[in-house]
Amino acid sequence: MADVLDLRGLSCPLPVVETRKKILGSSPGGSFEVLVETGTSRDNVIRMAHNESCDVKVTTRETEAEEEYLLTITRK
Amino acid sequence: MLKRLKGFFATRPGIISVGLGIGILASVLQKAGNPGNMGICVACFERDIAGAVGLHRAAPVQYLRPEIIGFVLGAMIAAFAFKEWRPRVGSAPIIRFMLGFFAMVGALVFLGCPWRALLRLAGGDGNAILGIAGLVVGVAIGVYFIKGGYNLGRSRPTRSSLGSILPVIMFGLLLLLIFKPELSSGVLFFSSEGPGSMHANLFIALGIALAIGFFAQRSRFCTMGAIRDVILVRDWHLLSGVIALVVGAFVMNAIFGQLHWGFAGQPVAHTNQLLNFGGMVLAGLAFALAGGCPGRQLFMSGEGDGDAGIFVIGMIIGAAFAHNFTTAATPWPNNPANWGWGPAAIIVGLAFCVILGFTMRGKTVLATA
Repeated sequence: MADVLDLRGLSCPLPVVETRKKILGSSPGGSFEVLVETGTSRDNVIRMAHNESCDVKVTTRETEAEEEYLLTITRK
Repeated sequence: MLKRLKGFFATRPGIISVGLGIGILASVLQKAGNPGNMGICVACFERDIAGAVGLHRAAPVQYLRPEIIGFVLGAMIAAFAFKEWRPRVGSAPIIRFMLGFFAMVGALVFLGCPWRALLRLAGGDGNAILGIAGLVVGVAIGVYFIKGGYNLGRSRPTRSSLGSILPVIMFGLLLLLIFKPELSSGVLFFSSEGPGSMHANLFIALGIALAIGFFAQRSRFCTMGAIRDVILVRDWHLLSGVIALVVGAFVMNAIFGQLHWGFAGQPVAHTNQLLNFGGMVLAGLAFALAGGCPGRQLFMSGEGDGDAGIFVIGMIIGAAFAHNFTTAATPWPNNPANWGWGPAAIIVGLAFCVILGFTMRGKTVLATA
């Protein structure tokens, strides 16, 4: 079962910093989910995850007012 | 076409194109009448706006700069067009106000924000080297605090009426600039000499700024983030855009004859390298602690970020303070023997930022509802 890291509302660069900590603390093959709510955080986290040799799957969720992004990150 | 373009500007070729475009357009703005090596300067231009509305009375630097207005409104247009309008607020606003305040104080000792530091470099101004070095050191100190757990807590989604406040203020400033009402108090002030009197045509400046605001929002362009990301996560993505900005400005300056190499005699600059360095250490640290360079704060304001909006207001008030309390530097050739309260203000600002860096930490600051 994947963990969910709720990073909504955190200002730059915290989404990247917190996600990277989680990546570096997980073992190859392990996966977890990250929730962000801006396109900037989404793009930055995806880029960092790819730099750290992870696969990223993006699911866009429509909420009442806006979109959120659930990123499933798997360490290769 | 819109869908294919949607993600392009956030890619490496995308941000490089945006950086090149900004550099070229900044040089064009200078050619069109903006001050020397100041085609764009977020700090100087917010200071000029502060002067125009009477918050300070430094006569040579008073003008309602449409570039600041265009950055916010252009970013807002992009945010709506691509469904990135995100009204949000609530992440330690008074701290962000004071960070904007001190970022401006530091920038006005150097006589430029990070954007202008890059443009001064691209114009041959050697003093910018020390400014950029200070910026790097300031950002590095910020990274140290970020790695140590510094954070200002979460913002929350809010209503569009709140997120629209800064864009509406900017639109109001635009109306003032177009209609120039005369009030019994004497405002608005428009410089008749000095840098405030040097400006491109309103529509050229506004048009260029709207375009920059639009594409900078799409690409997440950030001059502070560019340095921070290399130090923090060894990511050169944003820095590639910044380097492209310098290249674009340099080439256009060469074409326009706007290249003048040296340290002495540079436009709106001084040669006190300790203050050039120290001012930008403070500015860099404040931008790092606030999560974005002054341009990025304007673009985020255009996305509906109320916390970025309060940072912008803090910068404008900081500019008023800087001139009223003599912390802003005076450019060559009028270097006074006395630097006013500038050095003291840098020390106070650094102390403020360092205290924040050590105290605003831990899970309690990150608590969620």
